[in-house]
Amino acid sequence: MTRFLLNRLGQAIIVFLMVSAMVFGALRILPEDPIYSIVGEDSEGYTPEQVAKIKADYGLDKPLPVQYFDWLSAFVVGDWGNSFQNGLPVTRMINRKLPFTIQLALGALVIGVVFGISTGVVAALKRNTKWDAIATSSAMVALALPEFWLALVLILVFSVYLDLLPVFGSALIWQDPLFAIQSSILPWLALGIGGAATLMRQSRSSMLETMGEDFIRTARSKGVPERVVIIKHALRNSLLPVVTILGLRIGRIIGGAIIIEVMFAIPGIGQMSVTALTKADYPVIMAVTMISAMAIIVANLVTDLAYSYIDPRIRYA
Amino acid sequence: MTELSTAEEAMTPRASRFNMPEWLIGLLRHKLSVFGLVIIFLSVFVALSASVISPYDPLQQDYDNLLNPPSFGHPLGTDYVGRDVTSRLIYGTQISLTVGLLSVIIAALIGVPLGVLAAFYGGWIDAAIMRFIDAKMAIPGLMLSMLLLLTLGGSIMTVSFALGFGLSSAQSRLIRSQALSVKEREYFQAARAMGVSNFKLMFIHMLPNSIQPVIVQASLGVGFAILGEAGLSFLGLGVTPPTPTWGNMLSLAFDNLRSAPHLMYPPGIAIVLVVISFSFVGDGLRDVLDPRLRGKI
Repeated sequence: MTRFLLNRLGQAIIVFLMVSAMVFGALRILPEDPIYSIVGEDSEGYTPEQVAKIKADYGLDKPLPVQYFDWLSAFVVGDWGNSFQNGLPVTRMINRKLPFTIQLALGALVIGVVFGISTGVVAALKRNTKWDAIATSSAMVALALPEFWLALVLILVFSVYLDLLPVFGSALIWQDPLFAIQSSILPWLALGIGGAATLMRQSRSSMLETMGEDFIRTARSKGVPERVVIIKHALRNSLLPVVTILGLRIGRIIGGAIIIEVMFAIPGIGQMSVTALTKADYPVIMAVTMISAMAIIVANLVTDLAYSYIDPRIRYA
Repeated sequence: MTELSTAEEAMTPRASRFNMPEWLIGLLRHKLSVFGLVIIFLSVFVALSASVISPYDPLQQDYDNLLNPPSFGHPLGTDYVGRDVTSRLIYGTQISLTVGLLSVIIAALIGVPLGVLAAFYGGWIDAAIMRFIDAKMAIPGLMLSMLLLLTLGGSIMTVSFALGFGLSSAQSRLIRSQALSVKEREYFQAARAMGVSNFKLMFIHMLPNSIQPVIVQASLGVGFAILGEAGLSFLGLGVTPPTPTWGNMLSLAFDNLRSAPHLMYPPGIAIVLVVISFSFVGDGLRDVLDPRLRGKI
C-alpha cells in the first residue's frame, strides 16, 4: 500500500510539473503583451527604456527556462507572485475568490451525487416501468444540454417569470447562509444536472448488473429483507464504476464553473481566469491552472484509494 | 457467436436485396439510432442548402424590426440588430456541424497515433506519452481551449483544433488499452516474428484491430465538440462574430433575456437535438460493434 501510494504520488508530481511547464510555455505565445496589463493601455507614454526596466523588474527579460525555474521555486514555497493587472499578491486574490468556486463546485457535486445515484438506483429497481423510462430519457436529454443553456432556462423560469430567486449577487454560506443558498440554487442546478445524468446512467447500469449476480439471489433466498439486499449487498457492489465517473466529473465541474461563474456574476476563480487570460496576466493564470490541476490530480488519487475502501478485494501491493 | 448470428440471419428475411453491411443492419434495428440518423441527415441537408432555404441574409440588419417576437415574416423573430433568427439558425448549422466533425477528425489524428505508439513501444515511451496525456487531462478542457484560442484566434479551424486537442486524450487512452491486448494476440506476434517492420506492425496490424472503440467515441465526440464550440462562442472565444453560430446566438439571447426571451429557444433546442442524435448513433454503433463496451464508453 505504501509503495503504491509513493508511486502514485511520484506520478502526480511528474504530471503537475508537466502541466506547469506546458501552461507556462503556452502563455508566452499569447499575442497580448503582458506589458499592457502592467502599465495600462496607454503604454505610449513610456520610453522604450522604461518599458525595458519594467520588464526586467518582473523578470520578463530573462530566458524562458530561467523564468520557469524562478516561477517554480517561488511557487513551491508559496510565493505566487503579483497580478500584472492590479499588483495585488495572487495568493490574496485566490484566498478571496476560491471559496466561491469551492462552494459552487461542491454544491454541484452534491446535486449530481444525490440526484444521480438515487434516480439511477430507482430506475434499476423499477426496470422497464414508466419511472425507468422517465429517468433514462431525462438523463439522455440532460447530457445533451449545454450547461449555459440550462442556466438560461433556469434564470428565465425562476428569476424572470416566477421571480423566486435572484440572478446576480452571491454570498458565502458561512457569512450569509440564507442569501448564499438562494443565490446558489440556480448555479448549483445548472452545473450539477449534467453530473447527475452521467451518474444516473452509470449507477443504473451497474446496479442492474449487480442485481443479476448469484450472491443477490443467495441473500434473498436466505431471507434477507429486500431493503438490506439493495442497500448493503447491491448498492455497495455497484458503486465502483460510479466512483470512477465521480472522479472524472471533478474536471468537468471545474471547467463548467468558468461559464457558470461568468453568467451568474459569481466572483470565483473561474471568472478571474477569463479576465486574466484576456489580459495575459501570467501569475494569475498560472495560479488558477495549478489549483485546477491539483484538484483534478488529487481527485484521481482519491478515486484510486476509494476503490480499495469500497472493494477490499482490491489491494495495491 | 458467429454461428448463432448466421443462423439468426437465415431465419430473418432480408429487408432489401442490397447487401447492406452487417453493422448498418444492426444500426437500423436500433430505433434511437435511426432517429439520430434522420436528425443528422436533416441538419446536414440544412447546412448544405443554407443559402437556398434561408429566408433572409443572416447578416442583414433591419433597424425597424429589433428584437421582434416570432411573426409570419420572421418565424423565429429577430435579434437586437434586426437580423432574422431563422436564417442565423440555418447558417449556424454549418458552423456547428463542421466544427463537430473536424474536431473529431483532429482528435483522432492526434490521439490515435499517440495511443498506438504508447502501446507498441511500452516502457519509457509509454510512460512519457501517458504522463503527457494525464497532464493534458489535468487542465480543465475549457481552459485549455481558451488558452489555445487566445493564441490562435477564433476561426473554424482553430476552434476545431482547440476542441480536438482536448478530445484526443480519451482517444489515446481507448486505443492504447485495445492495442495492448492486440499486442498479445498470436497473429500479431506471428507478424512480428516474420520480421514485419515496426511501422507496418503498428499501422497495418495493430491500428485496424483496435479502432472500434475509437469510432464509437468519435461519434459521441461530435456531440461534445458541438457543446464545446457553443460554450466557447458563448464566452466570445469561438468563431468570430458576426458569423452566426449557435453559441454566439445564445450569448446574445443571454444579453437580451428579459426583453426577448424567445431568442434562447431556437439555438438551444437545435444544440440539444443534434447532440442527442450523435449520442444515439454512438450508442447504437457501440452496441453493434462491441456489445461488451455497453456502459463503459
